[in-house]
Amino acid sequence: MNCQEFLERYSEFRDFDEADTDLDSFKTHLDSCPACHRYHEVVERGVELARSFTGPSPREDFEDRLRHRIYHADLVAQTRRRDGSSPLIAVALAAAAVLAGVGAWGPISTITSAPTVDLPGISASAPQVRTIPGPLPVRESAERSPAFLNHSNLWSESNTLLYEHSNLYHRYRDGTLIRTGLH
Amino acid sequence: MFAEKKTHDAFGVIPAGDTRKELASLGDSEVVQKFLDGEERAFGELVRRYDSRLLNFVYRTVGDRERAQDLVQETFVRVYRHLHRFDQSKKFSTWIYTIAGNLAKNELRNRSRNPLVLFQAIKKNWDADHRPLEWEDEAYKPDDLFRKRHLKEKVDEAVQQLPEHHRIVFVLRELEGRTYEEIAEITETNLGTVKSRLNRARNNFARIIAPMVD
Ligand SMILES: [Zn+2]
Repeated sequence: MNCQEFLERYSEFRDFDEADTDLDSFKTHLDSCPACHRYHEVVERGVELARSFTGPSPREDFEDRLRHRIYHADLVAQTRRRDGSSPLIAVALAAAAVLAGVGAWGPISTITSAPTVDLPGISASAPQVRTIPGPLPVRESAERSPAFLNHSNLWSESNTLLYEHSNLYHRYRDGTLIRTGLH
Repeated sequence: MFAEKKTHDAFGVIPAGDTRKELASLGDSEVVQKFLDGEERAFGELVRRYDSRLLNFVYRTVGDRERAQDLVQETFVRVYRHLHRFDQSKKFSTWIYTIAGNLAKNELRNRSRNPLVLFQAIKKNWDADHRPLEWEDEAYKPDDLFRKRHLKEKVDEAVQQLPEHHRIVFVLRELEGRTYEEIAEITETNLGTVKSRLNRARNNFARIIAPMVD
């Protein structure tokens, strides 16, 4: 047996089946080959270490949670059987049950146990909505409204003029803006 | 869960000492039969027998403690609901490991939905399957870092580094002591595949941990 054969058939040696495995040829090679000897040692030692590694333990509430899960899984199954209802309804029922369950044993229970405060009923009426036109006819360009600029009452309409040149005017120039509180 | 002071546990009235001893003395198939005969408490016995073992198996496979807890719970839910379908000529432990193994595989598959992760996983699997079996004794002595620091954790990480299809057979054989036939059933593969994957898994494992081991 050479090293390659040893590696290829190593599992036969490690998990040896007395009937099938020619242990002697493996042992002879191991005794004469430091590399394969080391390989065997590394596998054995590594597995020993891996076995001694402490894995996770079931959480304290493992079985309580399991009971809840089984209960809800049963509920879905029973609902389906009894009603022949769609899976969607069954799932919705189960979801409601799960929420109730979570409320019972999850942190949410501290929230749901808060005192209830009675508040007076709220009545609401829709505010009157007014659509106002722009305060002035829309002026598309200065060239198209020279009459306005030459208006004899220009200064008597100062408010209007100020308005026209304000930002607000440009927002309202399409004449369809709905005012909600500006007067 | 099965605290002495309680009168009820998750699966019915807590068995009196003698009943519990009686359940504990039965083989898996007899406990299963008791449950099928309407003895709810028998399910608690199955949970007691398998919770830690499955948790370790699933944790080693998916590498996430919290997720492993959920997956083992799901395993028991499925066992509870489908035990009547279990072929009692088979071994119960193989059946329950198959359920847990499938859930673990689904978990890994869902994680690899990201195309990049999927590509990396495929490449890792391909490399692990096609790399020549080799071993070089470099006479490497573990340095102080490995000697002193969490050697066991390092070895556990080495198991996690194995590609999924190698890791599951390695864990089942080396850490769970399952036979080749059981592993073939649990992983839904044939004996030849189990043997070749196990041999490659050992080879990869040895290469990863060699620097850490005296
Ligand atoms: Zn050799």
